[in-house]
Amino acid sequence: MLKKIGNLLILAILLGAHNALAASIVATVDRTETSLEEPLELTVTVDGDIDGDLKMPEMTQFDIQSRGESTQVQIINGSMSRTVSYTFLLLPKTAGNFTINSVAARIDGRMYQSAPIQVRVTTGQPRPAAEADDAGGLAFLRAVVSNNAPYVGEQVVYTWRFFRRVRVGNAALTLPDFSGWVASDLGEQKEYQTVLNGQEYVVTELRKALVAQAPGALTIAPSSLRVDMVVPRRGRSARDDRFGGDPFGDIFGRGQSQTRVLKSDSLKLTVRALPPSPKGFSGLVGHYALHAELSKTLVKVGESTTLTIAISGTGNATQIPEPVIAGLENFKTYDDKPVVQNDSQVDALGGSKTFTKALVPQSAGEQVLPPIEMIYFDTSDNTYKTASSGELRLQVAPGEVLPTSSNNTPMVASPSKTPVQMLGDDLLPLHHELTFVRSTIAERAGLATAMLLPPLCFGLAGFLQRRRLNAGINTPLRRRQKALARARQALTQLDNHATASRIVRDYLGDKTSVEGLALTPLEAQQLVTEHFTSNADLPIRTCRFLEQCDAAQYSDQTKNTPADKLGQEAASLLNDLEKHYRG
Amino acid sequence: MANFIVTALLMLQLHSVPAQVFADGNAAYAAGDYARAVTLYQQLLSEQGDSAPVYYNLGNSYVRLGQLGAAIAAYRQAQRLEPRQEDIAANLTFVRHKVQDALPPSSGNTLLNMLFFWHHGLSVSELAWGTALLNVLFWSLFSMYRFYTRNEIVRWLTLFVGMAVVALGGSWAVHALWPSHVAVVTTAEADVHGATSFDSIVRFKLHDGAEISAVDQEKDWIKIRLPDGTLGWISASNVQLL
Repeated sequence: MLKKIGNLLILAILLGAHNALAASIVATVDRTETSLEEPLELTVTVDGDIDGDLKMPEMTQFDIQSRGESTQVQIINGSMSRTVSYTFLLLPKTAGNFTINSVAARIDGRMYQSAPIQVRVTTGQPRPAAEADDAGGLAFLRAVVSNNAPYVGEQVVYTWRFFRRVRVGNAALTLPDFSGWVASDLGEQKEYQTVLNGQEYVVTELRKALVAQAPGALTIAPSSLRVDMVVPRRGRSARDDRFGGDPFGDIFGRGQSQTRVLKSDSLKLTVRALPPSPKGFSGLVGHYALHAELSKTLVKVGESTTLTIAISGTGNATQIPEPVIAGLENFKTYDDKPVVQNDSQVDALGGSKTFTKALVPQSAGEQVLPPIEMIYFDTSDNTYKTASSGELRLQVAPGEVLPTSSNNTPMVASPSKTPVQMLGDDLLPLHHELTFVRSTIAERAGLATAMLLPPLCFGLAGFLQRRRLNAGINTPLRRRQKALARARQALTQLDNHATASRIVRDYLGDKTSVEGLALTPLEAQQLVTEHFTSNADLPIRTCRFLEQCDAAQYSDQTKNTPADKLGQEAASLLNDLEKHYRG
Repeated sequence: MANFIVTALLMLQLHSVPAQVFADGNAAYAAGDYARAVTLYQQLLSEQGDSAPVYYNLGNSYVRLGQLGAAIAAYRQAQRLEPRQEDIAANLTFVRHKVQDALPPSSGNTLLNMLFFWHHGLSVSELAWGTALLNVLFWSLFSMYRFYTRNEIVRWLTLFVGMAVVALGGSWAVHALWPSHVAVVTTAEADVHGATSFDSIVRFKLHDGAEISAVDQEKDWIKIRLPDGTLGWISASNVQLL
């Protein structure tokens, strides 16, 4: 029995000790620098069973609003732990450097305190003399930037706020298109309450990180918000109708609904060109750190070690260029795809880019890689600075003899190919060669001439030719053109072989400008070969027809061949000759 | 002699003015003064006439000013003059990616564009001169065939060139007689009504850079048609007609 009680006691002490060891209180803020316009979010996280309430420090420089608490319970290996997170909104009342003193709590019978936090409150942009109040003081927009005169490439935080004292709904927001800037979202949309001129407002806040691409005067156009507002009826105050819900949801129709279009002011900025840069400037503007290390510092020849270079800082991490690495003459290198991690905070866009290279030393001995450097422009003091790693040393021992390729170099595996990654896009540059499209009178006249003159010339030539033909001049051309028509005409009068022979001979003579009647059959065959077709069939056929007609003339065969059949044969021959005439 | 020299210098000065205005516009763009660059380019176009490089640079300036519709209109004017210029096509594609409305550009049927590749692939001036030169060639070949030789090669060449004349001449005629009207929205948001009145129902809204077919115009209203056939009337102040 005593033994059991003793064991239980030990267990309780151990549990208590475990819980006591796990108890803690941690206070954090979402940013350490803010302005009078922007609240801080303070989160107090308590691990363990808290006795009573938190003991908040005195903070006369802030108005404090509680945003609630959340509890998380974990049971691991039979041991239960409890974490409670308390969230507060701190609204700055005055500018300056302040300390948020420790938050205290009694946990498991002991007092715990968080570490103090240093914060800085700036005055920010001066408030306009009159608020941009489009709705009679019930709702308005404000847009501000963190810096009116940034450098090219420097991040500027654009903060858009929607203040309202009444219930709103069906909101449609049109933000400026930020032409001339590269814009990225910062954090999530926030909602909180604040007091302006003695009035309590619900505020919806959006932030964007803007980076100017070129120097000069830039204007950020006004944003516009179309929203339905529930204007309080007579006898009800705006306070009664105020509702801190989502302005982009539906409203429930209490009060008198009015649709308004609110606009913020346009913002004029002057983007400054960077001062003359030193050789090797990376193009980065902001705050950056560089770290490099080797995975192994002792390898053999032919073995690989991985060089990892991590560059982190403010700005768009995808734009961080790969630094130049010297001293790699004795290495084969294989690049891996860079890893980009963007980190969107409330007040800045940051991130890191990690470059990895596989290095394969080709010779033994100590290899020293000089420090890897990257020059950037630091906007905190407007100077160029160099982020640098230390030098890296690698001991390379003689390696094994490896099989060599045909050119006696050790064979190593080829790296895997990676697709080309698009990092950005922009317009192609201006054209500088000036040309005009002008339709002069001379060009139009030339065009009209080229269109109209050729058919006119063709028509005129045809007219002249016809006139010459009709004049009755027995030109060779006229003979050629009329040959078939004359032959056909003669065939209508065909009555014997002699006429058929004469008709064909006359046709050949007209076509070839010779005396056709004087042609022998063989001469006719030769003429057809020269002027009509190289195909042997037609010349031979012509020769045989004439021989047949000649033989029939001088023998009594006229009665054996009817005239119409002779005429058809002659007509067929003439048609084929006309079809195959070449000139 | 002195008068002659003075006149020659004056002529030289007059000829160099457009180049100077162009260079000033480019310098204003490089300095980030895009509004001034727009003014100078527009002055050049109104005084000297159409110019593809000026329209292109004007489009770039409008993009920097965030005026997508005006930029698209300028790029399309440049593309009409130099259809095969790759920079114009690239920048036009870049701007179209930024347009809010998901409308395909009004460039007609893809298959027809492939078959009649010269219709959009050549400028109107190139079509005109191509037709004229082929016309001269056609009549020369036809005359040769008609009056000199009945050669088969000449006959086929004549036919082929004749078809080319008809093809290019037809495209030239279509461009001249039935030009396709495109409207580009140049305001941030434009209401499209059912009738030619601001009191009529708003059928839908279009945004800066939307390219639609314009089928009719009545006073200050333009009748537009979406690719799916939807019709509507939009105020002429919200669009630029090409």
